[in-house]
Amino acid sequence: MSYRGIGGGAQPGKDLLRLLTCGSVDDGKSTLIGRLLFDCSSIPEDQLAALQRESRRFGTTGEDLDLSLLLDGLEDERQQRITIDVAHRFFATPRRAFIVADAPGHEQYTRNMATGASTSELAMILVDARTGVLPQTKRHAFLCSLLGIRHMVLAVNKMDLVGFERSAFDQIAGRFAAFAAELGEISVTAIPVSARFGDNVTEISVRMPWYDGPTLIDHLHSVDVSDRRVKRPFRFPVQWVNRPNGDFRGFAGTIVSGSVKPGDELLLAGSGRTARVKEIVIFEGCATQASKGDAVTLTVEAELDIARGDLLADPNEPPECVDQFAAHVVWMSEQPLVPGRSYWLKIGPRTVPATVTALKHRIDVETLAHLADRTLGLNEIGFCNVSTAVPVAFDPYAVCRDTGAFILIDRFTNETAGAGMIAFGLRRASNLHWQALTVGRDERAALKDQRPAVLWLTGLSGAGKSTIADIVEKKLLALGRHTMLLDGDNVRHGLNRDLGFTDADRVENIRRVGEVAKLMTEAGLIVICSFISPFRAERRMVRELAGPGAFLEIFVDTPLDECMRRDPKGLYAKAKAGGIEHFTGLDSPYEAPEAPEIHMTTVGTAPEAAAERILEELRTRGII
Amino acid sequence: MHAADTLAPRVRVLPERFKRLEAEAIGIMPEAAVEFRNPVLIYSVSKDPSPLLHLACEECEGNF
Repeated sequence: MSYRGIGGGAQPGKDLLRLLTCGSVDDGKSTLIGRLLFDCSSIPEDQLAALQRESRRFGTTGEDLDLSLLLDGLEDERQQRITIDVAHRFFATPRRAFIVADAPGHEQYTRNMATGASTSELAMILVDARTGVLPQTKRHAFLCSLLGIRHMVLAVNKMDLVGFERSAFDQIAGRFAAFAAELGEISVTAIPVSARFGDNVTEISVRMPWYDGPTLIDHLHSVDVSDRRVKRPFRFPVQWVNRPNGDFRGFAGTIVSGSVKPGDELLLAGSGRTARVKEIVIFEGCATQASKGDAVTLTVEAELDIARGDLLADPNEPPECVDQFAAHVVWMSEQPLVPGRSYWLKIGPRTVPATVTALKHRIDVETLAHLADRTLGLNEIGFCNVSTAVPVAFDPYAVCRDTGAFILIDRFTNETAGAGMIAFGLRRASNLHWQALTVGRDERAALKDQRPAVLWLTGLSGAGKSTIADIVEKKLLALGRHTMLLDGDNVRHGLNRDLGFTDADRVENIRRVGEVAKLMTEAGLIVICSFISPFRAERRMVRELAGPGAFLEIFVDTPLDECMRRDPKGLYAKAKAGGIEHFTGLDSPYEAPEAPEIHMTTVGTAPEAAAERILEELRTRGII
Repeated sequence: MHAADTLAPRVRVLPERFKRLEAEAIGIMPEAAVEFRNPVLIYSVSKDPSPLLHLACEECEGNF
């Protein structure tokens, strides 16, 4: 089969430029892209007819075509005159092809812009000549630089409204250049334009004779965004292992950096093992070479245990492979990022459990100031330490976007909660090893003739957890069992004295208790924990820490009304009077367990009977 | 450097940007196959799904 002719006369060498446009509603961004599409004649006739109809209906330009209407996709968005999500537009001139990512400019759409920027090579930042560089202009420029864009065009639009004055343009271009210098190595080209009338978009403006630079389209044609750094190392994330029959075993994926040819030696990152490439399989047969961007299947000569998510790399320039690294994170979820909580981390085709261990600082995107904070909210950007359950291979994002970017996924909702760009691996991860010990949990427990376990009592304040826990421990003691009781209030007087009751502190509270409980089970003890522990995610974290079969979640289910009636410590009364903030059940949520090992209602049940039920369960499970 | 120089034997001369688009599209296919339990390719014998079907054949040839 031949594809000859599909290019429609395009030159085979014509390249593709991916650009992102940034600006707010009023900067005329949509009009500028519309102008580019219109002047480059890439608007099909049917769309042009629709545009004429809609210009009359929604247009803001009188009798003229309202070019911005070409861009704003959906009808209802159009009526609000607001663009949402990332829209991609394709257009080509005889010299270059373009994919334009258009993201809305408001702060609440930071995540959309981050998405659009992550695949773009150049950012076109619009400012209104009347208002100049605004805080949001800086925010856009910062986001673009963070997502690896090294080329920016500052389009100073609406020059017609400032009388095509040179001074207005020079002042804005100067201020922006000063700010961009703080962002590192970025090339900035400032161009004065009028999107509405087309000045300096595709035609040199006769009304700005003082400007001797290129028009916007000339610049987009000639800007060189190719990576100047010399030969890039080979990187190939394995997408899936293709074994249609016993004779063939190939690794499918897309080369994200460098190139490869048969005979090259490849390293399976993180394993220290290498193999030589046998064949590069493509649809038409075998290729003699393949490079960045090619989707291929590789076969290797040696037997290597390779699975989806592994990274094949140049052994002379291996990627880092650690389980702790520092990264910039753009938060995309309504639920804030809480350090200590477990998320899925997806890097390339690989997905592993991970936690953000520390939020080093939040970045004020308009001043670039580093601010101390405990959590990251929607659209906020922070610099974090991330810890993964197993080591992952990566390159810093600045070196390779594909192997240095990840997303964090909420483990309950499967929502994409955040996007991250790895800055560097943390050395301490590679210097810190598990000390292999001869005596372990099983040996210690055997001496006590018991099976260690964590009995986790969760429920509202006043539900009866501590009362029941106390009786359970007394009973176990009477049976000659070795136990320890960790109680929420007591732990907060010592180990967790520094923590308050915000969501972030609650997560850290439970994380520490979980680790302590785990150490105690390793000492062979039956650990009874009595904590409100309102969040499912953290209870699950402790469950995973304790290991299979060693965690019993006991839901002490007492209705809020009953807890308030009992109010053993007078806390509900105090909270209602406004004396306590973040009180579970009142102004802080309680997420009831979905599948606890024991679900007990306390209304009508004596604490003694409740404790006996727990002991029965322990006998059934062979723990005692 | 474009397709014809590096990938042989290759009967077609595809402009670089189309080659990229094609590779990107092919890359999505196994991703869908791996990430989803029961992926479906909708084919209506029209202009858009036809290249999609071709890409699917290209990626999956001999595997299903």
